[in-house]
Amino acid sequence: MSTVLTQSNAAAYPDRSGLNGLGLHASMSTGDQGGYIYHDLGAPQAELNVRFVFNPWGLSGCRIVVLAGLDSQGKEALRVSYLVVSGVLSVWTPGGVQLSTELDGVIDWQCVEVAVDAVSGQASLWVNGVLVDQSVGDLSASTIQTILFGAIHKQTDVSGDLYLDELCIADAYVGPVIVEPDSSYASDPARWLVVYNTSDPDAVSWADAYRQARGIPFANLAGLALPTTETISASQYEDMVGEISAYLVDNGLDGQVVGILLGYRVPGYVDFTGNGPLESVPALMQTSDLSAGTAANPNASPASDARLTFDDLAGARMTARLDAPNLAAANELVSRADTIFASGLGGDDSAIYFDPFVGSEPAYQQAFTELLDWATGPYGMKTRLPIKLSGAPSGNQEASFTDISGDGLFLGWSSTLPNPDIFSNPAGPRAVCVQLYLGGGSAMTLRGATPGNWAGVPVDAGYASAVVSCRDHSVSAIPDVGALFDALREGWTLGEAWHVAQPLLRSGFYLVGDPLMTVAMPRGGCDVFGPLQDLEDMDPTAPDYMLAEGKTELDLSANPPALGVVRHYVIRRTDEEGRAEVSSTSVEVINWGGVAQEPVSMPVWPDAGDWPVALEEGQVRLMACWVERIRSTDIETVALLSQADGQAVAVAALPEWGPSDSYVLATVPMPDVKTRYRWRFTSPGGVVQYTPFSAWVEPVPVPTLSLQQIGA
Amino acid sequence: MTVYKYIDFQVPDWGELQQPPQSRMSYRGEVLADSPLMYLRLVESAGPTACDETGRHDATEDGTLVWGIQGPLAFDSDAAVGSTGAGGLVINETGWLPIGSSERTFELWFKPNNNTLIYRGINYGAASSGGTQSLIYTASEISVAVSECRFGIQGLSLAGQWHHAAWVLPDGATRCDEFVIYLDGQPVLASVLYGSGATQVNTADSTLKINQYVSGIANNCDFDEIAIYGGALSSQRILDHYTSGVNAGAL
Repeated sequence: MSTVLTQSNAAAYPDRSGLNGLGLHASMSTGDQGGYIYHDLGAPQAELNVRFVFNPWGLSGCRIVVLAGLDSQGKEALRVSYLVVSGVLSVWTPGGVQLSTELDGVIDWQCVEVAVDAVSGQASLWVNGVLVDQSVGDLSASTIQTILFGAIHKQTDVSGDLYLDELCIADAYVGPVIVEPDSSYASDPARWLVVYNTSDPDAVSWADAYRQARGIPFANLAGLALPTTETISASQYEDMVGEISAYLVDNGLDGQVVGILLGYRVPGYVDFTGNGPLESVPALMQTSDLSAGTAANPNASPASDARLTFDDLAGARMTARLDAPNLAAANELVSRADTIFASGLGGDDSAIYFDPFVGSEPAYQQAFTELLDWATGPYGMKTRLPIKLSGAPSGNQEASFTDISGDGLFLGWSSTLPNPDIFSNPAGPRAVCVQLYLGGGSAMTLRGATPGNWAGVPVDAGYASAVVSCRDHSVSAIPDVGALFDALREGWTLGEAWHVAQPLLRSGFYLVGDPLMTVAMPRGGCDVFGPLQDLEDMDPTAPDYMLAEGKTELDLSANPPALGVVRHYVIRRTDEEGRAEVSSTSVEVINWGGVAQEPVSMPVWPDAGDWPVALEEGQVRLMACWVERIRSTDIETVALLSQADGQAVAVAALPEWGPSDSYVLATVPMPDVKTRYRWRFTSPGGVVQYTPFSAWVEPVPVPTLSLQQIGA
Repeated sequence: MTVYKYIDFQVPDWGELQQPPQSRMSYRGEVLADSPLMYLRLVESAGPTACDETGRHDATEDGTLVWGIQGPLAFDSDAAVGSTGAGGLVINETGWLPIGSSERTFELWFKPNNNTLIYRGINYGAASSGGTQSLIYTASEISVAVSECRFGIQGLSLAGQWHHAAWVLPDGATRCDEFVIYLDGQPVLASVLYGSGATQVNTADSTLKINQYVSGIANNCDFDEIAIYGGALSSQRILDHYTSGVNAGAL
């Protein structure tokens, strides 16, 4: 047996492996025996479409027939053969109508569909959802009743493994095998269309690499023969949009796709006038119409954190572009996204840098204010990442960074471009760089590294993605920083986050990079509540500080306790999923000369003002008690202070204590005038704290006794 | 859209199919299984050499042939050759063909383009009594001529379609009218068309000419898959060859 047919897991179409994960496996060795399965339709069909998927790349040799149609007499009416040596797929009919195309060997599974219409005499061939050949002729002998499928006929030298699956026989176009999305959100790879340019031999390599990296269904790869230039004319753009729309509609994807990724060597700009300015294709394609005007984004700056669904898009699209000077660089962007996927951001290597332009115009100032509110408010804090501003929050100056390190996210806008050298320092994973140049187009190519092309700067700096612009834009198009980073923090994909951050669609800004990338921010760490006067003041839903895991220091300068005042801080840990632990701990902090210090361990007695003082035998006895041994506290010295009425406070005693003592005792002479007392404690760090004053002690006369009274 | 059938092979044991998988031997495989002396597949896209699939007796273009035309076999994209009456093939090598009255089988596919009668479609031997053998295939006749005897059938309408023909001289047969002639897998009701059926078959060794008598006198005919056997194929094997070629009864 030179051909053995089995149902095999290895032959299962990856996008639809199902419960059993089976496909048709033709294992072949040198010889003349073929094998096939067949289905008799019961009557000859004048119009017939046959769709299947196959993986022929494990074959060697010459030609093999994988599909055939027989008429009602059992006579061959259709033949689909594959020439292994050249990768050419051919369709033959007895009436002389022939079709052919060359398959690209990069993508493992190819979806083939043949339509034979004996009435109109038209035969059509689709590969991977795209019409690749069509011809009209005599198809009167091609009314098909029986379909044969497998390794029907093989030339002797053909050997190896042929995998086939998903045979569908219908009376109209079937299309590729569509993968139903598992999720309503754009994080589902089945909700993206990845367009690649079949006119460039490297583009299919990129497309397949991206498919494998992100699990894009085969049907969601749209290989179109597009112009190879990065900038196209208006008519070329119209054609391209038409082809993309047709792919979506014809293949039944228009009801599920929410985003379009324009892949390697897909044109990225349109010159509508022939003299510029350029329009960005991914920006233009944010809506399906062909007009060049901007459009309000109904999903901008969402009031809630409810994630966008297909219905929410209402015709708008998420878009991104992934192109680069060469294939390796394009693949590198995907690899960087892989790194971000795997590690996320965290620690000091993942700071957020903001470099806003303030200017004098109200619109800029409003944007600046909104950025500050976010960066210094609870939402910025929720990132658990260090946030660094190029200028002081209170200032209106045109500060800019001269040096950046440890940046995970960068966002800025300015009338001048940043100095690229600021990114020269090594950094951890760099995820997103948003630079909104207000001086005109700054990124007119992703393929040519020129000094004036700012899009190359973040890419060269190691960022996985960037937002840039190829033309002037209005201030009102400045994206909502909070919406962008909040969405990322919530785990939305970059494509989703960028979409909700844009107040205007088609504004000229465009996203470069992997839109399916997520940028995980730290969720584990410590939530800190304070300063609290009393522990019961704590609102467990509103931490005042959120620290990243491993962060052991907290800057209280923004909201310190009053000088010398002790306040409580409650610390509650959260796990890596952001879930708070049930228990928490608290510490007391005193603002000691502008420095946060741990307060001295105060005694349990005395703990309130006007505490009573014991008078014994003409002396005043005063005590301070702790619940633990004094040596276990941070008390270094104890002093008893006295204040005679109308006098200054003076040290009355410096009692000592033994190693096991939990109290100190001081005995001082009965005062001559009304006097009160308090204890003073000093910590090794120099923090000094006092108990409240005691009640006033009135001097008591010491009785005098006569000799007679003492029995002399 | 009406989906007539959707097979994703998820049901084990071929549960989605009307029948389990079928196997099918190619026409080439059927021919080679009978150990031909020579088998010209005529798959070449250009002359002058037509390779023997057995690797022994290549043929050479003689006159002008049209190479690379559509062949007759089902599922097989291999080519055939055509002649407008001005070309054929020749094998000058001798010493390998069946001679005398030894058993033999000749087989080919042909598609006559008109009804021109050429009495020597495939021929070899020497011009002595019973010393030549010519196989005749035209639009109206299929027969064998042994010297002056012609035995076969006339009145056929074969023009414009591919047909399978075979001539078998069984073991022990010695007369011209003992040839068994097959058309499209079935034996024809042959009769003596000329001369005496008792003419002894005593074929002499010589060069072999295919589709022509002498240069420039040739069948106006497409032809393909020429095989010569040193034994007599059974009627079942002839039928097997034919059905394999046209896929008849393959389901």
